[in-house]
Amino acid sequence: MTISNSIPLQKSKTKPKWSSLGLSHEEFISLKIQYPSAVKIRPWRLNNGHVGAIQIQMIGYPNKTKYILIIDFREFPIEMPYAYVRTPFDDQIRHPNIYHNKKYELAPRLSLCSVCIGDYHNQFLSTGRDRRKRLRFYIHQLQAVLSNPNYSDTARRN
Amino acid sequence: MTFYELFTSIIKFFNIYDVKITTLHVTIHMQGYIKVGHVDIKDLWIDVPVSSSLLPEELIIKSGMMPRDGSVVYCYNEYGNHVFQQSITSGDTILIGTKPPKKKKITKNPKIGKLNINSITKFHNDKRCWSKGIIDINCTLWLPGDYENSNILTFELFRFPLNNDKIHSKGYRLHESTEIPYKNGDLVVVKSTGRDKLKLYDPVTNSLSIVVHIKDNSFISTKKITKEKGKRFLWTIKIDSFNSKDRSVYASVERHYTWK
Repeated sequence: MTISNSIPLQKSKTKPKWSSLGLSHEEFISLKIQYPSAVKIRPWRLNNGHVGAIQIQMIGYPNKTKYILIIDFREFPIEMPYAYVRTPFDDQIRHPNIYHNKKYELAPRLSLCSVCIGDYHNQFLSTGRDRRKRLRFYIHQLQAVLSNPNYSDTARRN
Repeated sequence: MTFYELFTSIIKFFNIYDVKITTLHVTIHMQGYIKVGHVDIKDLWIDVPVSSSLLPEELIIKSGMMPRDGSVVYCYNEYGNHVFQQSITSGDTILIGTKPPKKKKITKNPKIGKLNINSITKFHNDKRCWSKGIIDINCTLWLPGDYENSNILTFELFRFPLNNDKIHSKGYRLHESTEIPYKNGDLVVVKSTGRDKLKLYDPVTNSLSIVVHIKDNSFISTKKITKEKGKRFLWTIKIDSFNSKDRSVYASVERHYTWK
C-alpha cells in the first residue's frame, strides 16, 4: 500500500506549532478514520482555535462493551491527555482499569469515571516532538487498555 | 470443449487477464491499484495494490480504514454513489466513510469556444438581456448582453448543477484578438470572492490573469447594495477601459445584472 506522493497528507500551512495546545482540526479529522464516532465538544474550544476535548466511542472489555469517552486534550501535547468514561454508568462498568465515578472540572455536572492507562507518562514524552506520534501513542494505549484489562490494577477496587 | 475452457483459453491467448471461474462468482486476476480516499479527509489518497477484483468489505479492510469503534463504513465511487455488492477492480477510485461525500454545488469548468446564441432573455423593462446558447447536453451558457443569432467566441466561467438535472452555466464574450480581448462597454462576469477574485480570462496566458479594478464610486455603491440585497458570488461588470500593456481593466459593477 502506498500513499500518493502528489497529494500531501497534511498541508504545511495548516500544520500547527508543536507546542500549540489542544487538538488541531487536521489531527481531529485524522482520528475519524478509525473512530468515525469522534465529535468535538464545542464549549471546550481553545483560544487558538484548537479542540480542548472530544467525545469518542471505543469498544472494550467485557463482551465488546461500547464505551463513550470524553478525552481532555487541553494540555496536549505537553502533557498526556486524560480519558473519562461517560457511558456505561459506574454501576454497569466491569472493567478493572476504570475508576469509580467522580465530578471533574472538565464537566462538573456529569459523573465521569476516569480511565487508568498506567504509568506511561515517560513513554509518552519519549515519543519526541511529534504531535501525531504522541496522539497515536495515546489513542492506541487507551484502546489497548480498554480491550485488555489489567487485573493487578487497583483502580476499581477502591 | 466446454464454455469455461473456451473462455479461459481465449483470455489466456490474448494474455490480458488470468480468469478463474467458480460456480458462485467470477474473480478477475489483474495487477494494479485501487485509489482509495476518505470521505472526511480531503487530501488523503492511498493506492491499494490488488491482484484481483475486491468486494467493498474486503477493500475497507485492506485499505486500513476499518473503524475500531464499531461504526459501519461504506464505499462510494467518485460520483458519490454507494458501491454495494459490486466488485471493485484496479483503476477504480473509491471513497470510504460513514456518509456519502458531499456533492459539489458549483463546479469549475473554464472553457473557451465558439457558440451559437439561440435565444435571449430580456429584463428590466427590456433594457438589459442575457444571451443563451447550448454548449453541452442539458447545459446552457448565459452571457450578459444582446448577441442574438450570432456566432461568438465565449469563455465559460462557472457551472451550477440545477435540481432538474440541467446545468446552468455562466460566462462572457471574448473578442477574436488575443491582444485586446475586451473592448469598452463589454459586459463580463467575474468572481467577487475566492482565488480568482476579480480576474478576467487572458488568451495570452490562457488563464484568469487580467486584473479588474472597480471604480471607486461603483465599488462603494456595490457595497451598499450588498448590505441591502445580500452578497453575490458572481458580479457582472461593464468594462470602461482595457490596458493591453498592464493587462488590466477598469470597470464598474452592473447592479441590474448582478442583483437581477
